[in-house]
Formats: sequence, structure tokens, C-alpha cells
Amino acid sequence: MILKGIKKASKLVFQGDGSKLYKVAFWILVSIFILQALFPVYWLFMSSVKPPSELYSRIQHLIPRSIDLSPYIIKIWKFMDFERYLLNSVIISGSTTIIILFVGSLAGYVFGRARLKGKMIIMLTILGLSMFPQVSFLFPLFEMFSRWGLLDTHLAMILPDSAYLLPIAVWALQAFYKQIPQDLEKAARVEGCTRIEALWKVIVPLALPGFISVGLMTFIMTYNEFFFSNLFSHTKASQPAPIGIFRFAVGYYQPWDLVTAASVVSMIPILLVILLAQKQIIRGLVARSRE
Amino acid sequence: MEARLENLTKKYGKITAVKDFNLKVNDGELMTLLGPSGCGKSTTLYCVAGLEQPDQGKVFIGKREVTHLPPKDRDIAMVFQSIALFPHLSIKNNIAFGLRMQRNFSKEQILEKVKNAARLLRIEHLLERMPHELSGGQQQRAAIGRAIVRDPSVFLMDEPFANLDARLRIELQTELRRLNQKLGATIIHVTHDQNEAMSISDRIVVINEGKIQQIGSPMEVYFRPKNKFVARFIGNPPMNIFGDCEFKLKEGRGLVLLNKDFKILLSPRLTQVIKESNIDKVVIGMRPEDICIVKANQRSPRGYIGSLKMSVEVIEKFGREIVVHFERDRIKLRGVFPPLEVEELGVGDQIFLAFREKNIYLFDPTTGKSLPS
Repeated sequence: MILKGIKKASKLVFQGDGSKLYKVAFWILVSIFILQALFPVYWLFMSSVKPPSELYSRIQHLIPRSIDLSPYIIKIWKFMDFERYLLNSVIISGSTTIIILFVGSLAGYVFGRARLKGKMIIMLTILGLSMFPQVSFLFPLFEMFSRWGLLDTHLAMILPDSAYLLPIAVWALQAFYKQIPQDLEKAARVEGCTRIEALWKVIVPLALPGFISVGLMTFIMTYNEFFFSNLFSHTKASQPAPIGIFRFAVGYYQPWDLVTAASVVSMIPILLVILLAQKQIIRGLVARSRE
Repeated sequence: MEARLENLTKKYGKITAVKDFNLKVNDGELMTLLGPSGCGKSTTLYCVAGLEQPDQGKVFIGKREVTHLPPKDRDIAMVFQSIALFPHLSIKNNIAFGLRMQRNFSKEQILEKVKNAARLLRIEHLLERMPHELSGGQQQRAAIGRAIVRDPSVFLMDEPFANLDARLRIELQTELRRLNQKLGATIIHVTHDQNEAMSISDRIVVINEGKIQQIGSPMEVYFRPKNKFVARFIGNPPMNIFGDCEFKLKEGRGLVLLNKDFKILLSPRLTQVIKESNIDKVVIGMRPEDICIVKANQRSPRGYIGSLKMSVEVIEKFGREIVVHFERDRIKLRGVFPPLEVEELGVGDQIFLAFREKNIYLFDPTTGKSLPS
């Protein structure tokens, strides 16, 4: 799949008529890029399947001498309750994504399609807010959450994550909305839709590739989010996977086999989401290019 | 059903797009709003559709006032220049979209209606396709199908054929006329293409700068233009118009001076018309087909007046008709002739031109209004 992608890219870059030297240089550069991106993942995975004797030894082989799958089969579930962390992660990222897509679909409509005085000022203000460093929200948020008893609940991460990522999502979505011809919305309204029905039945389906990319971005960013989670979640009742792994990694005893295996497993939801979205994005792009 | 606009006014900021518009479209009539781009014709249509809110005035569909109703409650259908089929739905679902929104038809009824509409437009075989799989003409047929399937009170058409190539446009114009006659549908149609307006409309509303210039049948606006704008806008090639010509009396007959060398001696009837209007300058116009070529030392034919010496500048051969551009001393004229009449004409030839007296148009230079002739 990756090879196919590179071939396509090289075709695009050269339009089929680059000189041989350029092509070779292109392939070398691409290979270096892919190696540096994939090697850490490879190393992580190999470390997770090495038996402890090899993992903690001084000499490390590129390909492990023997393989021990026990961290995946038993250890991370039994000793770590990793399924709990994974579930927390999925709940937090999933809810945040849903909230952002819902609010963003409405806000994006106003900013992307409605005639509104002072639209630009409002848009710049919310974008500006999202550029504040996360730490500047820390104290008020902590104060609020502790007063409302939200600390160590999923909401303590869903709420700030949504608020923090929403501006970028709204900006991206309004750009997608803008590309949809005004006449389609008018046609929908003449055909019997209210404005909001026209939004759900025509505009949102047509902006689907936009929703998928924004949703994907939101999901990945919240899934990787560390700062708020580290401070607002204290137990495995609410801690997402990255925090769980981190707590194990910095503990008194460092079970590297568990940490690496958990890290690999924590990649799975992201990979699933990306694969799912990719299919949709490609379908959307193809449909669009045919218009 | 009939549609009526009363004192409609629409402003965008300081610009008045539509000014004090009064119009009644009769039941079953195909009414065309015609004007140059930016004249307010589409805005007017959007006000009827409810996609724009007028600043003043009222909109009626049938006997019902709909000025403040949303588009969905007006019982209208619209066809757009951009076609605006929903790209994510098949042709069948596009046509059925409006029926499904009404929520009072069964699945079978909807299918039946969709099929009937498709049959009428000869697109039955395309129902399962997606819009992007159709040609431009087929897409616009499907869009018309989406409009007729609901059997609305009024059809609104916003330059529906402007994006199609010439042959297809003519085919669909005929189709539209056929639908209008067959279904007895009331159609308000917007275009900037005067040929289209002339060929399919019952009546034409000529609009300029947000104001109605004239309402009338194609023949009326062509042969009895109310003002200079209508005269110039309707007809192709356009009417030859000479502004601010001095008017003089010489031995009881009127003389119009195009400039100091070009004079047209008027007939007693036209002289009378100008004298009664009490003006000393006049705008004179003649259609290209009302010009005739007179060879030197020949007399103008009966019913023709004037004798302008011009030379041939350009000859455009269209086959059925020949357009000849004449020029002398910065005075330019265009004439349309049957091919046989100008067979021997060559560029640079010196000839005399005469004009059909009956079809000379006179306008007041200050108001632009046509003089009652």
C-alpha cells in the first residue's frame, strides 16, 4: 500500500518525464524519510516481543533471537489492566470527536455560509483563544473541576479537549462548507427543506471528506493528549492509555516489556480509525473529482 | 397558478437591486425576465422563491401572500443555471427529494411520479445513475424533472440553459416550451439571452438597473420598444441608433442630421411626430433588416427614405443572412440582407443606404422614451 502511494507520488512529481537521476534521488530521499518514520515503531514492536533476558541485556540485536508474546497475551491485561486505560482513551477521544463534529458542523455553517456582520472578528477571536498555551487554562480549569467534582472523571478531559480543539475544527469545517455551491443549498430549500434540514441532508453529506479529516485529526490529537489528562486524571477510573503507560514507565520498577507491548496495543485504535477514514476520504475525493 | 409582485424593492447596502417592481404573471404563462447581467432579474426571482427577503413590497402566488414565508411553504420549484443536482444522490433520489420532504406520498406513489416525470423528459434510462455520470443536457433535464415532479404552482428558472452549448440550448428551450404548453405550467424564466427570451416566452419583461423598462409580447418589445434601452437591447444585430441628432425644418419637411454631412430627409408623418413632441434634437434608430442598398443613380424603393452615402467595411456571411457593416466619417451602420441581394457587394464599395419609413424609431434624447409614431 505504501509502495503504491509512493509510485503515485513520483508520477505526480515528475509527470512521467523526469530524468533518471532525479528519480533515483527521489527514491533515496523517500526511503530515508520512511525509514526514520518507521524505525522507532519497528524497534518498539521488537522490544515488546523480546523475552526479558534479551530485552535487558547489553547487546541488542536488530532481529530478536527468540520471541515471547506473553506481554500481549497475558501480562498487560493481568498486571496492568490495560483494557481499562484503552477504554478510557476511546471514550475520551470518541466523545470529544463527536462533540467537536456536532458543534463544528453548526458553527462552521454560520462562519462558512451565513451572511453575518463582524464574522471575521469573531473567527479571529476564537482562533486567537486556541493559540493560548494549554498551561494558561490549567489553574482555572483545575479549580472549576475540583469544585464541580469532575476531577478524575472522563468529563475532566472531554470538556477541555473539546474546547481547546474546537476553534481549529470550526476553521477547517467552514473552509469545507465554503466550497459547496450556494445553489445546492438554495435548491434544497426550494425542494422543501428548512435551513437546518438543508444542512443535514445536503451540505453535511457533501462536506463528508472534511468531516472525516477533522474528525480524524481531533481523534488523534485527543488520543495523544497528555497535558490535561496528566493533571485531571488520577486513577485508572479515568486515565487514558498514554498516562497509564507513562505511570508504569516512570515507576520505581520499570517493566519495559509491559510498557512497549502496551504502547503497540495503544496504536491499534488509531490505526483502525485511520484505515476506516482513509477509505471514506478516498471515496469522497474520487466522487468529487468526477463532478 | 398566477403570481404577482407588488412594489417589490430590494436593496443590498446602498445599491438598489430591484426598484418598485410591479408584475402579474398569468396562470399558464411563460414569462421571461430579460436584462443585462446585474440588472436585478435574478434578485427578483429569488424574492419570488423566498431565497431573498424583499425590503418592501409583496409577493403573491395564486391568491396567497407569501412575502414572508420560507421557500418550502411557497409551492414553487426552481431550476438553476448551475443545475444544482445533489451530487451525492442518484438521479432518481434527486427527483424524489422534494416529494420525500413533503412526507405525504407512499413509496410507490413517489416512484410512479418520478417515472412519469422522467418519461416526459426522456431520461427514464438514467434514473439509477449519479449526476456526474450524465452529460450537461441530461443533467439539466434531470433538474427540470426534479422541478416538475412536484407539480408546483409556479416554476422559477434562473438562466437554466446558460451553461449549455448552443444546439442543446435550443433543444431544451423547445422542451421547456412544450412542457409549459402540455402541463399548463406557470413559468417565470430569467435570462440575459434575448434570442432565448424571444423564442419561448408569452411575454417578456425587459429590465435594466432594477427597473422594468417594458412588459410585452416578443413582437411588442421588438416592434414597439418603449424606450431607447429596449430598442437597443432587443434584436441581433442590434438596432442602429444615432443619439442627439439635430432636427431641422426645410421647406416644411423635417431633416435629421446624424452629423454635419449626414442628413436624412423625413417623411411628413415623421416630421409631424417630432414637431408635436416639441424637441429640437432627436434620437433616431433603424433595425438592420430595415435598410436597403441603393446603387448610384437609382431611386430609393417605395416606402424607403433617406439616402446616405457609405462604404462597405466588413461583410459577415452567416449563410441564411449576410451582415454588412457600413462606415463613413465615424458613422457606422449594420444591415442584414438576404445573400442574393448583396452577392456582388465587396469591401470598400461605395453605396447609398435607404431606410424603411414605417420602421424608423424616434426617441426623446433627454428621457430616452420612444416618440408616439
